[in-house]
Amino acid sequence: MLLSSTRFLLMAALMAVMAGCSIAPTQAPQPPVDDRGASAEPAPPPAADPESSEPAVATPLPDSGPSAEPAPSSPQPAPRAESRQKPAVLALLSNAEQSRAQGDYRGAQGSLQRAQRIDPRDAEVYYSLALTHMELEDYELAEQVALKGVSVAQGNNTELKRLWNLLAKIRLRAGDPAGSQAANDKAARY
Amino acid sequence: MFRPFHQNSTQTTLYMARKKTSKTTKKATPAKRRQRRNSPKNHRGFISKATLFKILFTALVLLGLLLLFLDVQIRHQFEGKRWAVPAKVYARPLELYAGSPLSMQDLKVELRGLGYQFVSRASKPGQAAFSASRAIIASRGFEFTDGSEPARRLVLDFNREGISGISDYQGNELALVRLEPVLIGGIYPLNNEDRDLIQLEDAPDSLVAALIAIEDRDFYDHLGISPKGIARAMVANIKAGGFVQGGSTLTQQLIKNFYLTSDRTLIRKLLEMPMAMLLELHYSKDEILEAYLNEVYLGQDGSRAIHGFGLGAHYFFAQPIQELKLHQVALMAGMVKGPSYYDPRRHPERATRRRNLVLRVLLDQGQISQQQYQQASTAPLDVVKKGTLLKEAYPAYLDLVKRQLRRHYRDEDLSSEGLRVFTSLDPIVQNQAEQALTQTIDSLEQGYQGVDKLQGSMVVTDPQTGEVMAVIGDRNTRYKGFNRALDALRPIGSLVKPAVYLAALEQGYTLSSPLDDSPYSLSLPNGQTWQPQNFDKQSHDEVTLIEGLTHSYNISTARLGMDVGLDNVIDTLVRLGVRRKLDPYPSLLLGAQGLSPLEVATMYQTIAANGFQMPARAIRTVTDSAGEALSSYPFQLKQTVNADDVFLLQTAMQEVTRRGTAASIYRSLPAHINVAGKTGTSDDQRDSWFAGFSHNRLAVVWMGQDDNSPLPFTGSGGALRAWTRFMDNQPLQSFDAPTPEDVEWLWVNRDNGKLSAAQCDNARQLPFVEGTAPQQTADCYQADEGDDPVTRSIDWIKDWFQ
Repeated sequence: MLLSSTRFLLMAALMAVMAGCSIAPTQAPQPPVDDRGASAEPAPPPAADPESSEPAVATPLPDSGPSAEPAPSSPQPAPRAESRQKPAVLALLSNAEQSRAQGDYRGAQGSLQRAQRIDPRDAEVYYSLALTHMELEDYELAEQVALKGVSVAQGNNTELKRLWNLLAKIRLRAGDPAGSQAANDKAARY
Repeated sequence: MFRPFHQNSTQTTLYMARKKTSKTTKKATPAKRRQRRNSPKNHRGFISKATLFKILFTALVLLGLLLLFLDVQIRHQFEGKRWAVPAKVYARPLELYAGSPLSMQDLKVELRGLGYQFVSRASKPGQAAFSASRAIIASRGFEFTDGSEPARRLVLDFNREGISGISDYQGNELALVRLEPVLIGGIYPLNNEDRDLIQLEDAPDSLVAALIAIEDRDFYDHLGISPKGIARAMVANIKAGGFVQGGSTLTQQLIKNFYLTSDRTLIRKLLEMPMAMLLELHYSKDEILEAYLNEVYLGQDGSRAIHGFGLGAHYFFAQPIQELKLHQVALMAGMVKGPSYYDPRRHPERATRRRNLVLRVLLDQGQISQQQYQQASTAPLDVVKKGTLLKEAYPAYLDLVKRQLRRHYRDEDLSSEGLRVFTSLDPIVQNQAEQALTQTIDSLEQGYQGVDKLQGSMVVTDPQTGEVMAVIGDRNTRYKGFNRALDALRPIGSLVKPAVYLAALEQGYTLSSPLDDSPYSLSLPNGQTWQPQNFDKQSHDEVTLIEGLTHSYNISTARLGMDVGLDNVIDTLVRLGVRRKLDPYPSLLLGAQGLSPLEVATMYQTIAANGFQMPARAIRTVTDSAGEALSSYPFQLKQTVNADDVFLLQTAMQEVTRRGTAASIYRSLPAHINVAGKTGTSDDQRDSWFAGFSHNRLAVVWMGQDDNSPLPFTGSGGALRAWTRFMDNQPLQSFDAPTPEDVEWLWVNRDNGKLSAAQCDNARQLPFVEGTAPQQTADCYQADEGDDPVTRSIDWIKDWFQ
């Protein structure tokens, strides 16, 4: 866009170097960052399959036909939406994976952008999107999307490691072995 | 475009026809000459007979040729491209999933926009039933580019946060469902004809029956013209003592509308009949009927002409034609005779009488039962109010879409090829933005004397994706005129300051760097002096950098900007996404530069997105009429500003909303929601701005008067109020930017920015990029002379630093 790519690469390299020199992060006094530690675990099975993740809804439908009257339901507290990955996002991530496996990169992009709109703080969405762009050999965009993932994943070491490993791969394919090495070094720190 | 071959062949035929005609004329001319030469010698009677024959013969040939020509024309037009189908522009489809922060109220807004009927039992597509915490929607389904969404019954459960669960009618939990997108507009050809093409089988049987009953009873029997029909019409007219019925068949009406629109002469009348017969010769009744259903003119919406029953169903009832009931189709069939005379919105009584006449005829012909007649003829017209239709409701957004489209598509393709354009417009967000802006403007006009032509505009984006969710270009939101959101370049005032401070941070300043806020004057090359003043006309000797931005001090900002360098500030602005050419005048530092609200949104988006610049996208995908994707506009971004520097700036901009010029925000917003932003007021208070964001919404509001006269309020007194009113109604996510790895939080003295400690008076925490911690320490130990070991250790640190 506005910056020439060389200038940008320079900046990216500079950032990597700066990041490399820094010591462990200090705790911020600000309200705690949305830490998605739990989501760093391997993703639970996709929710597209109604059998898998959760049992059927607690308020069964009357057989006689649809009724707008809700079944008496306990006023359960809403599940903390951010505390885990949303089933919708999981379903879209799995759709994207399938599309990518079939070589349908546009379909994968479509699913991932839907996922991004639903939960723009989910680093895995950016990981998958960066992977898709890498497969499409659009390394510049792949790198940017992965960096956005890094920016979202702060505090989530598992996700950060994955993303820097991916960045190393992207940069290597883009013909930037030095940048790739820097990314590998970053990944090794998590 | 659809049938290029056909077009060529017709052109050839036309050319030949013309040639033949000219040959005939040539033949005729020598004959006439001969005739003139011979005339004195010969008998008058004999010559005139021969001449008569020749003239007759010529006329016959001409007539034959004319018929041939008409025939070719009819066939070409009928088989070839019959209609220019305007591109359809859609809003984003609403995504339904457990955990979505969608309220029932907002869902109703969306469904109303889609023309859903609210019923007690949702059984047919296009119906919805609501109770206290549950909604049942019978969706219509939609063919998206990336897969189809089936029509099905959905059960949605709600709690205070939004959707708590979603399942199908059988009780299977669903992860994610998309509703069909709202149609928000079209891109029309020069004649402004708008239509939704339908196929004959889409039309309810009752519509076809009603149309034939009232307009052309013998449609399935005649050969294009109906002597019986004409006779019947004459009888009826004599009986009624005036013109009540026309004898034109549907075929003739089609010919009239289809081929002979422009001229209303006798020749047209004479051509109508043979052409109708020719049409019947070539095409089946069903083909002719289908063409008629799509061609018929049904009304006028401003400059837009409503054609075809498919569009008519949306225009009058906000429903797809398949869902219409008897009383609705009878009304439309009746309107054919005089769309403006029987306009149900302007002449409801007339329209009702006409509708009931149609129903009466259907009853008399035995097509409907007495009970159906009773029900339909006593039903209300059920026509939706014009102002509630979402098509054409968002002219400012549509304007943005068109401009982005024109970079890749030609006008004629947009207005004729039936393209489908999927945008990111969120009708719910747009609706709330419109209310917030217009209500604030109204209350400001009531609250201040002499402000009566206040204008405003607004842009809302998703700062994480760069998608534009809402655009308002005029306080009259449906006004299709000057689009202030895109075209009004107004001085941005203090909205520029984040760029100045960011440039300073990039040059090594920190949030606690001391700034000089003492009176300042600068001699300009043109001999003038520039003397920036603070808003309250007070100057301060020394303020910290973060305070300078928080309280929007002009003098310290000007000094800072001059120290950083105008070129560096401009470079930062460009990296934030401002594409306009910027002149390096000192006044730039205080926002003399004019920008549009959309440009400001792009600039602030880079700040909200941690330094990733993203183009403001209004379009997601464009497909052809069959739904095949032609182009998509993927998520694009580029980091143009270092994330650490942006983090520091974000912290300062949150201070603006917590304690600075925009602190009034938290009179409405809950304290646990972090937002960041900046107020802006231009010279002499001609413009009132606010730009700010939470994690999931970025909104820019401008207010001012078109004649540029001063306002009685500032950025925080005007634009900020609309912004807050809007944000207060949004499902906000707090702006919690994670601290970058090489940024640390340190205690500093609030007043002088020197390194301090938690237990010291007046201490606060600020983020610093590693290695930029303040070198000087605060002397808090003087204020706290105890035996506290911690204080002593601070004391020790202080000595160590000095």
